[in-house]
Amino acid sequence: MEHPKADCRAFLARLYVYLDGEIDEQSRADIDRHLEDCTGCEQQLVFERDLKALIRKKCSEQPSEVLIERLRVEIRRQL
Amino acid sequence: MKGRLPVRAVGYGRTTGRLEIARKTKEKPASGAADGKVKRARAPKPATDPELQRRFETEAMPFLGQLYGTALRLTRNPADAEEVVQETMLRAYRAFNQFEEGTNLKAWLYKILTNTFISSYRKKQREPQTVSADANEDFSLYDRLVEANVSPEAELLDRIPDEEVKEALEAIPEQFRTAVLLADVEGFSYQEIADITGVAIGTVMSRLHRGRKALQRALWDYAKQRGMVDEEEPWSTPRRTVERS
Repeated sequence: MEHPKADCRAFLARLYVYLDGEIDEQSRADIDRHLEDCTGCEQQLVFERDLKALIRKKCSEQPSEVLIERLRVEIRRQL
Repeated sequence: MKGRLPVRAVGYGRTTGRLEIARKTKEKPASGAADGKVKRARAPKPATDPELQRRFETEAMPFLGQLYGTALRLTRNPADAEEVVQETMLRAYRAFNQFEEGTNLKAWLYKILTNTFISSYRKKQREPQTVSADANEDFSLYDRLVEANVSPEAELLDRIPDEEVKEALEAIPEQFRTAVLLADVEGFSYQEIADITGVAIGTVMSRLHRGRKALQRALWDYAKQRGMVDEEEPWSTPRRTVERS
């Protein structure tokens, strides 16, 4: 198994913190620099970002207006 | 709802088959569960405070739909989700005079939702552990796709029906599922999730990691079963084909 280089490992370790927007400025700059010349990591970043968006899209639930109104009425009744 | 597990199989109340909300919270209301800082809530006096009621109506009620969506993923069934959301809103209302205006109302409501869910289901039933999140800690969907010589693109996963992805998420143990829901579906920050669930940020990150990996494993299994990817013999093909710098 081909081991990714140290920069790639550092990227992988911080991938989700980066995607979640929870990374510190310095690490973000380091990763951005690394991504500029590593297509493998860039490809994985795109994948993981799309996956996160996909989970959000597929697992969101927008209840019908009818249901919301019924809940609202029931809650108001009990307030 | 095709393919959804029968209610009893996911471990809800043996007698009613339903998740039951502890109604005794009426005597000992909201705030303790809602916000650790508040020790005691006043008795509900809705009719005497029209201003509070008006604020609750305009500020908190609009979150009803979102709260229901999360409750449905947590409880895994519409009837329970409705009960949890109703109880959440009642608790929130009773504690609303202690909500600090200008602070994060959505996070405050989600904290009550999470507590309501936990207190209701922990009382009545055990959480089914259909997925071992620990076993998947190092799982990488991306690597699996690359190893299977499939172009690792999320569009492939877009072909998985929404219901299947929802069920995969719902099969993850509760603590990990909650973290993934709050972060990836609701978009809360680590700090907000820590506040909502009452754990340290490090714990949030670890739960999130394990939840995501468990979900990735479930998506991979689904893709394999449906022939979207070929299951390779683990000993026969090159492990990593993507070039790193």
